[in-house]
Amino acid sequence: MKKAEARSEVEFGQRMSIAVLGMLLLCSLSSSGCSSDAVADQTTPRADLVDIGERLGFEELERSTVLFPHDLHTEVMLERKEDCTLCHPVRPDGYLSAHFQQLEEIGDEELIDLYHDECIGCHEETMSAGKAAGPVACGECHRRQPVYVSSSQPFGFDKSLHYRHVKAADQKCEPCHHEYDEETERLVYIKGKESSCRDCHREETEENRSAFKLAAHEACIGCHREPPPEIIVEKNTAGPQLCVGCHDLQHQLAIEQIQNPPRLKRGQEDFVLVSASEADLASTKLRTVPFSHIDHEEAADTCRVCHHDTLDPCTKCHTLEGTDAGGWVTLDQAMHDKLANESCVGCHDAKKSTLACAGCHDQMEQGRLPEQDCDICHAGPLPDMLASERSRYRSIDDFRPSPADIALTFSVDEIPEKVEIGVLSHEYEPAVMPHRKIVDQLMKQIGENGLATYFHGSEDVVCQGCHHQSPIGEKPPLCENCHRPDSTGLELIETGLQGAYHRQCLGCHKSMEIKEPSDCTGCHKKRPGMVAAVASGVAR
Amino acid sequence: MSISRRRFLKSLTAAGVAMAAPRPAGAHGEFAGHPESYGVLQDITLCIGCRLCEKACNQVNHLPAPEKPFDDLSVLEKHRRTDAKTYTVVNRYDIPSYHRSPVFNKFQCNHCQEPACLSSCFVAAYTKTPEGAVVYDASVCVGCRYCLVACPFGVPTYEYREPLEPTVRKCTMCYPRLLEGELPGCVEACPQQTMLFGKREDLIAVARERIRKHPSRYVDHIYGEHEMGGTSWLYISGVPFEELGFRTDLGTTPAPKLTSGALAAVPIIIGVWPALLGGIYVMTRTKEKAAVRDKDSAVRRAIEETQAAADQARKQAAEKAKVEREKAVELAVKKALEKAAKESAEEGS
Amino acid sequence: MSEPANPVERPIFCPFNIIAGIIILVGLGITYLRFTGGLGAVTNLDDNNAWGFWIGFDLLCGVALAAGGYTTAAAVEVFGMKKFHAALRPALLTGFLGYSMVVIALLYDVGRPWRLPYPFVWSPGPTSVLFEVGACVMLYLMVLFLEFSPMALEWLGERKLRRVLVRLTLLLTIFGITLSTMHQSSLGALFLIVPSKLHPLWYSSYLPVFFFVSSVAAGLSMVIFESTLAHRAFSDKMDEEHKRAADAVVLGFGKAAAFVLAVYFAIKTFGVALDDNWGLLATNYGLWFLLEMIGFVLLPCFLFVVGVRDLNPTVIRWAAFLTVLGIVLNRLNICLIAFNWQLSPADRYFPHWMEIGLSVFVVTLGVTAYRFIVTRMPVFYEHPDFSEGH
Repeated sequence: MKKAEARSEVEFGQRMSIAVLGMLLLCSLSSSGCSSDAVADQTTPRADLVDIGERLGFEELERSTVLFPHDLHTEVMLERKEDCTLCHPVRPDGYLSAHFQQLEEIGDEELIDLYHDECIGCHEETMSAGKAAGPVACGECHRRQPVYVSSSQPFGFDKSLHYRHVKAADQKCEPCHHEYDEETERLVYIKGKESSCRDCHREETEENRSAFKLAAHEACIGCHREPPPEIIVEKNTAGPQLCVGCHDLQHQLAIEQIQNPPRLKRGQEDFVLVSASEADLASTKLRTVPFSHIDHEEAADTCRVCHHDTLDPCTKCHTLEGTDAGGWVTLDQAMHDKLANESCVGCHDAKKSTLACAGCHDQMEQGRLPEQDCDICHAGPLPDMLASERSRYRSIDDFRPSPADIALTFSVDEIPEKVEIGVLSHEYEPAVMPHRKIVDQLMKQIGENGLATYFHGSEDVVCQGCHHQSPIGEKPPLCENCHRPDSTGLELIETGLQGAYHRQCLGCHKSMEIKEPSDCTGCHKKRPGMVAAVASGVAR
Repeated sequence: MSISRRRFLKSLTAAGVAMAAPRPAGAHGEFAGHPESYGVLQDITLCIGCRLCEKACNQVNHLPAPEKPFDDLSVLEKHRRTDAKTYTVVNRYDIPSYHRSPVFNKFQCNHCQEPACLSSCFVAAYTKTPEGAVVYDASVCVGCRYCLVACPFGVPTYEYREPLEPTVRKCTMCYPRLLEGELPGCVEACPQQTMLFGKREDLIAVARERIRKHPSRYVDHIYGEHEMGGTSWLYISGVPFEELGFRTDLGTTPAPKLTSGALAAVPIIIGVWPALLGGIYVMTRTKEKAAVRDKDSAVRRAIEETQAAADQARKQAAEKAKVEREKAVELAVKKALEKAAKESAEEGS
Repeated sequence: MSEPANPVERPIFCPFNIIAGIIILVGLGITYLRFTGGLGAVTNLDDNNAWGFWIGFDLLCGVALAAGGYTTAAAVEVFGMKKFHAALRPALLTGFLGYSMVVIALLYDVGRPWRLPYPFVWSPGPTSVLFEVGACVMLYLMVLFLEFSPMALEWLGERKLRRVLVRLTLLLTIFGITLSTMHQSSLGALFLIVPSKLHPLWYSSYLPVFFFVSSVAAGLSMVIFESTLAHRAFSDKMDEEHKRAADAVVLGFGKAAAFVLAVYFAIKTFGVALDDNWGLLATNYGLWFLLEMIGFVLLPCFLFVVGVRDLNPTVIRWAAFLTVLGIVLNRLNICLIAFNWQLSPADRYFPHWMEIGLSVFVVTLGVTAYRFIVTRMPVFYEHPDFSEGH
């Protein structure tokens, strides 16, 4: 009895030892996985990826989404001398459907089956014909670590491209612009009501309106594929039918740009006195704003930059009280929002960060409204005088500052050519600043910019870019008058002199992306004999 | 070796008094910082990566010269951290999506309002000074390095190569200079005045104002305003903070609050456990004693019963024997009488 | 009570002595390097990883595995389970030596070991959990020493002093259990301050409770484990009562361990549920966590149950061994593996061979001292002169 017990004890002991060793081995093996969950970063960028999971709009995905390389398949189709109808059915109204093999809505399960059957089926057919084919295994399409990454850039029409289409359509708008007639339930063309596609076609498909993406692809590619008779262009020499043609960055940059295309004709005014809508006019006393529509058309690439929703006047939706259609954004907010590109102040503010302007304007408060100078914009006649005064003003030139207004208050010779800044020199020699050269450069750039010349009002204004917070004059205060050399940061003007000099100079150079100087000695040489362990490297 | 009871009680009292000591005003155990506390506002968009701050820190604190001089910017190729000879480092971050890339950020102690290092130190080597600086006292440090473990920002460093007198090293906000009315070395040295020294509440107002005035330039967040209960070193940045190596998942709970719950259980255990265990002991003993008593009484009763039964039997046997003896005596007497009568009748004839 | 066999005189160059001697020599070498070159000369510690193998293994595992002292004392003295009496002295000895070794290891790890009394006599930092750990460990070491001293005094023949100490038994036991509860849980509380550095599957506001409950399991298992080893090595030192009681101790402690491990598994599951960390179980660290829970908590719990049900001490002994491994794994996970989990692999820590060497050295010191004591003092047997009462 005892022997048997002892043996079974030994056996059990042996089994347990193996089990424990096994577990320790498992420990050490699995622990190696703990160190990193790093993902291999080998993804190929493609501009033609269709995210099928996103397109189908499933709420929850059981497996990773499928990134479908569309151009790849288009090219295969072309090789086989096939047509788009291989995958995209033609709708009764003649448009090629952007959907895959469906004309009507089908349920989720059927959708999944459709895609699987068609895609895998085609791949399998190709494989059995002995040619290279796409994936058939689940994980090869539903990849957890994608092999492609989308490099697709958004695409839109600008004035140049629009003009090229206008030319091809022989100045006719019907082929592209339509409205929906509720009564006849048809698409009709109404002259004078042409506007951007996005005014009706929104992000998501609504009852009767396809989403913008779908509508654009159907209309654009459909036309490129088979132009209607009124479009004068050879078939297949029209615009791109491959995704990369529009959505690849390199292709976009290669699109022919017409310089100064002729103005879009839609009956717009050259010059407007902007005021609140008729209904609101009675309650406002603020002067109207002279607005050169023609100048803004030249400056903007598309109409939608300002007319972000419809081509109607702003005041139609943005009233003094706000309307539902306007998203309850009131007129004053719409015009003055410093962060929105569609607003006057916002767009002008954004323009201030172009390289030529950023040097001074980056340092200034963003979107700051000139408290004492609302009339720099609100310069037109009073609303209640509008009716009678309107005819007096024909263009913006009636409001531009005259050369006399913007003349310098002091003579150019009084601007110092060089300024030596030595007040803080210790490890370095004094800095020598080419003052006049800087002023001349800035004046030149201002002169080339309509926005700047209008709003600066006088040439002296450029002095305030550096000589800020002080009146303009031939002898502006010195920096050290306000910025103390021994500042502790606790004074009223928190920036000390050293900080002020460096931030002003380096900040301007950084904003204007000026490469010189590339290190400290570019401005001030090192003092010989001083222990110089000073850093180089002005960041760009 | 054994600590005397009096000393033990004394140190307990000291601990208790320290815990109960009044702290600056704050609702219900919260510490909003010393009222006149200073701080530093670091505007990351201004830093140009010149490393003059590192040089100044090195000089002011009399630290040994580094391997590569401070004007060698190639050190920025790799991200560095503070170490025993470097209280602050500047790191470069190349961010392609940011038009002002590269971004430079200076890293050093954040001088938290309720520091984890202070909370975790069991010899109270750290002090949050009224001026806002968190300073370290090497004269009591035992070298346990719990502060290195506890700091959520990974700031303190240790002299691992020092065999007998190692100390913890970190930025001091140049506390001695603050007492003299001077600025911290790095703040003073920066040519761009990236850092602003002042009262913490003023700095927060300045930071808010800068963000308000330049909404496109800054991310709308002041790092250090609430993180880990707030720090005295505040940051504003043009790119999201996590892209600059900041931990943005630290939450706003100050470090001491993370352990105060567990520590609060200690007096309860001291109070309850002895009573509980003593009670269990008493109950166990009582049960044992009761069991012993029951057993004893059962044994005693068994003996008594046996004894009584035996006595009874003996008495009966004795009585029976007596009766039989009397009967036998009677019989013998009768027999003797009969025999005597018979003998006298034979003699008479 | 029978006398143990006369102690056999072991030759001075027996295998144990040789191996132990080598380890001790290496240890002395490391000691020299540590105190001439600093921690950097003998460890892989750095500013990102300030606590390494010495804290993770010697301190955290050491304290957990020395928990047999208070659990056995609780069972025997407070809960009155006299049948485990034979296990009491060995458990107290293991506890005493275990905590002594913890303190010795601490003398190496801490930067200025001579300043260890500072927090308690000079400059207390009571906001620190470490303060509480230190105070309790210090006091508990004294308690253990006092509980161990009767064994030494019996060996030395000191009757009066021994009698005084024996009278204090209950008080010392209660005090010891209280101190143990506090410092076992506080070792877990040490990590409450680093939610940003400890992996969420191991971090919980219940860390102190987890540490305390697992220390009970650790203590019970260590008593079983250590008795298994002792019966192999020192059975000639054991008296009949001790040998007879061995299986009863194993079965009894096995039953208790089954319960404690089941409770521990349950509260760890609650911890995952309360923080809604289920999703993390599908990561690499999650698998590691599951391995720790299922392989080293659930499995030994199951084995304990089976062993008790079948009255099979062998199964219980294996379960105890697994539990001990599990506790070591758990403490190392919290201190080294799941700690700083977010750092890049280049910044992670792995112990230097000298750190492991020194830990082996410290354990060897403990084993050597254990061997010395059990071969001379009445641990596994009752001293005939003092067999009056328990």
